[in-house]
Amino acid sequence: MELEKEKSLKKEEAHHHPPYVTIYFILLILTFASIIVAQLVGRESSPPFVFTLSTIKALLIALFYMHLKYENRWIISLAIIPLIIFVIILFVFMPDILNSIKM
Amino acid sequence: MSQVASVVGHHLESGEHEMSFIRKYIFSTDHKTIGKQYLLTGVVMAIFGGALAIFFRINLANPGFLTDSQYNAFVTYHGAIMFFWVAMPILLGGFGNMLIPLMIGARDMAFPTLNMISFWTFFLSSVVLVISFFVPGGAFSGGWTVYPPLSADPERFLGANLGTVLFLLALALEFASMLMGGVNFITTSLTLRAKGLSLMRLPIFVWMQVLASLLFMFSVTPLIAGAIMLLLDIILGTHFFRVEAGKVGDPILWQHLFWFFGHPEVYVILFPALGILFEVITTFARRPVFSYKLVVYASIVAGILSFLVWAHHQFVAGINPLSATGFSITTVLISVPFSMTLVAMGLTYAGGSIRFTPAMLFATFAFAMFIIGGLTGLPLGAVASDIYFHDTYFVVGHFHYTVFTIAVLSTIAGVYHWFPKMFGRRINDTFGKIHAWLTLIFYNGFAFPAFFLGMAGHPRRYATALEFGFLQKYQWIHELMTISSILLLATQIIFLIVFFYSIFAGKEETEPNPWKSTTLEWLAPSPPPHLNWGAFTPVVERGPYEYASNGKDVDFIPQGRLVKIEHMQKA
Amino acid sequence: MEETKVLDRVEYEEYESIPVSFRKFGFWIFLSGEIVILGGIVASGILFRLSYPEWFANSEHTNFIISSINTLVLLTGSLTAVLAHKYATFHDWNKVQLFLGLTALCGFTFVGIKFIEYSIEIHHGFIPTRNVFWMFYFGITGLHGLHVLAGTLIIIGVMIYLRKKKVIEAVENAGLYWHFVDIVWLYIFPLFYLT
Repeated sequence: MELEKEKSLKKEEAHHHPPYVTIYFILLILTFASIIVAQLVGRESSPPFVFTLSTIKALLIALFYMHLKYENRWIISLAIIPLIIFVIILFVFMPDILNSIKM
Repeated sequence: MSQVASVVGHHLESGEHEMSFIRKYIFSTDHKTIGKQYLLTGVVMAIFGGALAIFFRINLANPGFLTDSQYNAFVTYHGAIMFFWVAMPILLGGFGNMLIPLMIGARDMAFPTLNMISFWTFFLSSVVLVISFFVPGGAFSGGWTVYPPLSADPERFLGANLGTVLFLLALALEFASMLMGGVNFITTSLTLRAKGLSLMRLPIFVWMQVLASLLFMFSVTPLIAGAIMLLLDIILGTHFFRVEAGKVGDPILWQHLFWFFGHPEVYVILFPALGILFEVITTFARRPVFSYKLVVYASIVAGILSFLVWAHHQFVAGINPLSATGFSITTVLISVPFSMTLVAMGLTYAGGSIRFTPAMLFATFAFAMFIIGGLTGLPLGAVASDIYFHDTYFVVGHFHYTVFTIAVLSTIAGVYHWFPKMFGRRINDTFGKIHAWLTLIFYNGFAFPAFFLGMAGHPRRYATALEFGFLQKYQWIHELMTISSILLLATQIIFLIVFFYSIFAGKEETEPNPWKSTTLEWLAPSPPPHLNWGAFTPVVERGPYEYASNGKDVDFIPQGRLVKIEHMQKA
Repeated sequence: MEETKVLDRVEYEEYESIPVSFRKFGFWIFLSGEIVILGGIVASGILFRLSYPEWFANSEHTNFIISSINTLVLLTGSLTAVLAHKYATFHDWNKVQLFLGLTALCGFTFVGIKFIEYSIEIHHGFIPTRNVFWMFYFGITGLHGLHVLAGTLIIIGVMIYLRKKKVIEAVENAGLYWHFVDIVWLYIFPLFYLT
């Protein structure tokens, strides 16, 4: 419907596109890197490396593919609040879950 | 210059296009109809849930009326129904849907079809819940908190498998429907406001609905993860929560996930009720809210804090004592912003020209009763005293003084208040006043003695007190509570009859603003037509509570006015 | 005047609104709820993993080659989804359908590969009730897989919707859901396959 398109357009007009394909290749490289690192370092010690690489990849996708770098604070808050909740759950549950499981 | 799509011209000039009965009343996307559907379904479930309570109260007064399993099932379903199938659909789905678009000057919600789907999902969840109560094998009877290992091993402990699975399914559907509703409420309130309606000019009611929706969304979602794990435990036999030799599983994980939701949940139903109370009290005291900003900011702070208090429900569950101390501090702390809000509510009365219509009576009673509820939360929030009070009738008293007040007293205040707007008629005032006083008396007769039972150490969820020597002498209190609760329910049944009668044959109210209130919904006709404003659009010029404004002779100034739409293009 | 379909809701050019398109905002609200659902079960998994490091020796029995392929499939889908969005902003609706279609293809591929992977594992006796690792493995990757399927269905739904109405935000929203699912996988993949 005409007016819907106008309204959508106005908000999209200011939008420029980051280099999606370039970022894709970076993501591929990082993926291979994490697999290789995990094989080299072994499963026991791999967590810091692979999760750091995951986080870099996640940030690339979030900031550029999901356009969070260019969004306003309302949307950014909606992206950040769930992460805060995740952290709260992880750390506040920890004293009880970690202790009680170890039998 | 506001230009309106050619759609409006086409739509309005050709008149309401004829919709079949089904599209207009059953599968409607109109927010007002959906609101009424939620209200109606919630009321039916309230009768079911209330009846369950009467039956188990009869068992307490007259042991042997129910079997022990029946007692457990009735208590379980009473709790679950009241929270999920009465309080939430009525306060959020009913009042939220009916009023948000009108109060912000919109024509409907942002996503009307999603809104319709959310109601029918809710309806389905109600049907599934009722079915789960009657299935062979028995209803789920492990408490509304669904604690494992009891709930994770239904065959072993409860003798019922199908009932448990259906109960969880109904719960999942209910969560889904409320989440869908929440998307609508938050988006609509933030993006579809009338010109001039900045965020700090919103009626408190709208703020509260948005906060409640946000709280629900962020709290229920970890529980959904937990419910999936519980279902896997029941259906596949996994060990997320079940404890067995050689396998791991942690029932405390469920408790944490549940109460992480459970605590914000009570504020999910409190906030809309506070919203209703503020609207009613400002109207009938002819006063603005005492410090609007204080109420808004205090509520936001309380909402954030509500995510940090949950384990006060688990003080005696064996959680880490350091953790418990932290939670005790945050729990006592959260009483601060709520006290500020309630003080503001009380001060709203000050200097006012108070008129005790039924709505105002209910609202005032709700305010007073809620204070009792809130104060009795403090001995429960402090760890040391909670060790004694946990799982006693003291808790039952506390939560009834908070939840019943919210879910019933505030709701009824809202019903009396907006009835003329929604139905174009009035409920008889004299009846309303009698209804209010009888409810107050019978309610206190039922709920207040609970505190004394709790202080005597009477545990919750016992089917009968008579088997325990130290409780036998309190049996007369049980009888008093049962009689009061029966009379309370009877009063509400009479009210429902009057309510439905008034919808069809009550005194007509053609005046759109009979209470001389300031907010935008009172500018629309009673009842508002589809798309609410017709050929006009509301424009807002001031705050929401301009009553007896300083230096002016007027009793009230409406928040906005209707402006005729220009430049309507014909299709 | 062009023929317009009568809507149940009127579009104003000026609302008092936060500076976001309401469709995108509404979708982000839904999305942030979803983040917490998956976050809840992942957090539970992490807590159990920290409590039972020896049980996670079971991760040797997962096949990281298959799941690496799946990782690439999801990443490719992310690219095609965001390219669909780019062409939507240029109003090149044919390319939009092409790229959405490719994304849906990636979605079905992922689910198909997952299905095969599960079959192999179950065939070898690694079932959800075997021990805590497999419980969370099937629970979390299963829930995630359902989300991939949902995301694929959303993409297809948008493709159908776009035949009638050309709405840029619909494409963007479908892409957002896909990216969310992809990001979650970026953490699940190492959690069960590489550590």
